[in-house]
Parts: sequence; C-alpha cells; structure tokens
Amino acid sequence: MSFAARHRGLALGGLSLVVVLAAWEGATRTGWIGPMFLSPPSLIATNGWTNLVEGRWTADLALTLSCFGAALTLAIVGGVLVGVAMGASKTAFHLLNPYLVALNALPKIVLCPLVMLWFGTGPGARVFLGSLMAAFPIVTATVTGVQSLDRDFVLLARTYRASRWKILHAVVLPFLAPHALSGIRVGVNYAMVGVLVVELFSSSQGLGYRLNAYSQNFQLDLFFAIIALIIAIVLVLSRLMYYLEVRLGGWRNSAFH
Amino acid sequence: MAGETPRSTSASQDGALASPGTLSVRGLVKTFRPRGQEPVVVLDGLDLDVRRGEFLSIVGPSACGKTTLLHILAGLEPATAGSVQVDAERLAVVFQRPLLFPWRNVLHNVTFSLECRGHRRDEVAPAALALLQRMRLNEAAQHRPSELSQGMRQRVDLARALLVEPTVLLMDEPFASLDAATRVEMHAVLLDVWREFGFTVVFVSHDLEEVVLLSDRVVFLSEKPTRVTKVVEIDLPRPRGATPEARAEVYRLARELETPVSD
Repeated sequence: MSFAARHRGLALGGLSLVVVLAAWEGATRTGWIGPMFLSPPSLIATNGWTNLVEGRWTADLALTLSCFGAALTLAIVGGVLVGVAMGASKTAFHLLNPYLVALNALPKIVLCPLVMLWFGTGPGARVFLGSLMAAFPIVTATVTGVQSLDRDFVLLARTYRASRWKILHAVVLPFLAPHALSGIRVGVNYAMVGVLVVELFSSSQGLGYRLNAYSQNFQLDLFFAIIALIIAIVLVLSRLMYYLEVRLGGWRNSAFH
Repeated sequence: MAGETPRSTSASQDGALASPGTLSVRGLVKTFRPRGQEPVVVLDGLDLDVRRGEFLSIVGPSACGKTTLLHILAGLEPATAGSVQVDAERLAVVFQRPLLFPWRNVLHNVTFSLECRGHRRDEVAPAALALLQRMRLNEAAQHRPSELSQGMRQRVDLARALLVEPTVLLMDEPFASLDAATRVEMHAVLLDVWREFGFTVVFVSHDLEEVVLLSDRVVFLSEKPTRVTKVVEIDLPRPRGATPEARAEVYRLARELETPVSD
C-alpha cells in the first residue's frame, strides 16, 4: 500500500486543505473575491509573520493571554470546587441547581454589556466574563464525576483510617481528574471567547482589539492572521488538555468493577 | 479517629478494656430510619465475643444485617444502642468486591493501606512486593487491576489488607463471587497467612461448608430483627478437608448445622 493509502485520513485532510487554500489564493489574487471580503492566504501568512516577529503584537498577546490564563484558572478552581460541593452534598446540589440550569441555558456572551458596565473595559471585565463562561462546563463535568464516584472507595479508605485529606487527594481527585478535564477542555474555548468578546467591543489593547481595529481599517490580511493565531493557541491548549485527559484517565476505558 | 488504640464505639461505656485482637459486643442494636418510612430494627440486641487469634464466622439469611454488623465492627457506622469494643491496633477489612483503584497499578493498590497510616509509597513497596509474591502474584505488580482476573484481584485486596499487619481482619463474603476452584485456592491462602500471622478473623459468609472448613466457631444469626440464634464450636482437627474422608466430614457437619434452630 502506498503512504497515502495507509494514512487515508491524513491524506484526505491534507488534500482538502491544499485545494481550499489554493482556491482561496486564486480567487483573491484574481480579484474574483474582493479585498473587502477575504485576503489571499499568502499575504495573511507573510504579513502576519512579519508583524509577529517584529513584536507588534507582543503587548496584545501578553494582555489577552494573561487575561485568558487568569479566567481559565479561576474557572477551574471555582468550577471544581462548586462541582465537588454539588456532587457530594444533596443540599448543596438543590440549592445551587436552579442557577446552574438557568445560566447554562443562557448564552452568557450576551452578558458582555453588563459585565463592561460593572468592570469597565479593562482586564477585570475580560477575566470575569471568561471565567464565568468557562466555569459552567467544568461544573457540569465535575458534578457528573463526583456522582459517578463509587462511594465504596471512600468506605475502603476509611477502614484504613485514611485522613480526609488523604481521601481527597488519593481517591477523589484521581477519580475526578479525567472528568474535570473533559469539562476544562470545553472551558478553554469559552474562556477565550469571553476575553475576546470584551476586547472586541471596546478596548485599546489585546487580540480582540486588533481584530476590531483591522476590520475597521479593512486590513483583512492582518485580521485573518490574528484569527490564525487564536486558532493556534486554542488548538495547542485543547490538545494539551486532551493529552492530560488520556494520561490521567486512560483507566476509564477498561470497564471493570 | 485515626491512630486510636484500642477503639471503642459505645453507646454506653462498658467496663475494662479487652485484650488486643479481641472483639466484644453487648446488646448491639442498629435501627435504620429511612426518611418518610417506619424505622427498621436490623440488629436487635446482639452479644458477641471474639477471642484473640480466633477464626470466627458469622452466617445468616440474606439481608439480616451481616454487612451492617461488619460495618459497625469496622467503625464505619455507629451503633444505635449497646456497646462494641474492638481492641485492634490495626484493623483491615476485605469486602465482597476487591475495590482496587483503577488508576493505580497493583503494587500501589497494595501500598495504599499503609500510605493511609502515613508511610511513603516507596518505603513500603518492598513489603508489598513480598506479599504479592506470597499471593503468587509476582508478575502482577506493574499491571492495572483491569488486567487481572477476579481471583487475582481478590488476592491483591487481601495483600493490601495484610500489609498493615492487622490484629483483626474483617471479611464480608470475600469469596462469594469467585468460581469454586478459585475459592478453594483462596481458602488455602487465607488459612496459610492466618496460621502464620495469627490475627483474629471475623468472617461473614452464607456458605456453611466454607465456614466449617475455615472457622473455629460459627455464630448463627436470625432473620430481621436479627439476634444470635446459636454459636457452634467447630472442633474438627486442622488441616480440614485434606483427604476425601475429611472433606466428607466437613460436608456432613455443614449439613447438620443447616437444620434450623427452633427458638
């Protein structure tokens, strides 16, 4: 079998990318699709790369990434804590569930104007919205995880007189980790959305600001370059989470009891 | 709760402490109060004395509270009334399911019991490996529990329990879900380590032949509300069931004990 035949999926995907990029390049270079709509990929790549290495976007990257990092961290810590509380205590679950259900149903992105009213347009608003949006899938995944924990594991630890701390970090957390990670993987995306949307609306720095500025100045090549950058960041992080999920949760695939 | 010796879970404080490796139960009552329903008296005044180093079995019909009794002895549940004194510096429990952590390998599942008492994993690993060897599980140490058979997992569970060098070993129908051949093997393993380490065993079972084979004494429980109906001393010489005649003797005694007691 040829290389392409053996790696059929990869080959098809690669082929698809090449064809589309080529068509895109051709259509935009010939003016068939105007510069108001799309930019040629070659231009996106070269101009984007130039700006990146010349450090034009460094401050923006730093701001967006740090807000994103803070938002994700808050979402993870808060989300796991709330998730554990709700999963472990029926009272806590019933007390908090109405809000979980209502806010889950809401596309929280629409809260952006309110968030900006509360926090202005600085990092506070970005971190708040980002963490709010990211927390929900984490809470949901954690609750499911805690509820699926076999209570007999805890019972067993207690017969060996394990301290609460030991039970938490040797029994509960390793069990929860893959569940929480699946929620965190989704949360990565949402945290980025939350941060970017605040930046889009009104700010003077950050990747979202750049997107807004470039589109208003019709610099679509740089616009798409930023898009590509965002895609790259989120992809890398998602992959990392997935890898962690497999590493810490591989034992889930073998069903046994 | 951790590190207390001896441990006494009493609704009423009772006299002098027993000697190590003994259990003493007086008038044990356990009532469950499910929400919105009538309270259920499961254990209705049990008296029990387990001597040091003895192999005592507890048999009774299903749902008579054998597991509840074991949980109370293990300190996992409080008694509603009565006193329970378990004089055990180190207690270990083997449940019906092996309850091995799927995210740990076999070796680290075994070390878990001593980890709970504050030891470091790598510190106790050699002792754990030695026990695994004893259980004829030398090759299993680096494997995951999911890769082992039921019988092997039960042996890992036993190894984990033995690692703490228990004074008292509680066992809740540990071999019930094993096939006959594996069960025979496990009986031999258990008796072997019991003979060597000399701990006290409280063994819950519903299998009369099994208890006649293993025990010094057998306590019979009634249906709910549960009381002790009789206590029988098994004075067959050990090793039991080693020859066909000995096995027949075990079988005969088991059948004899089967006849219900009229109270």
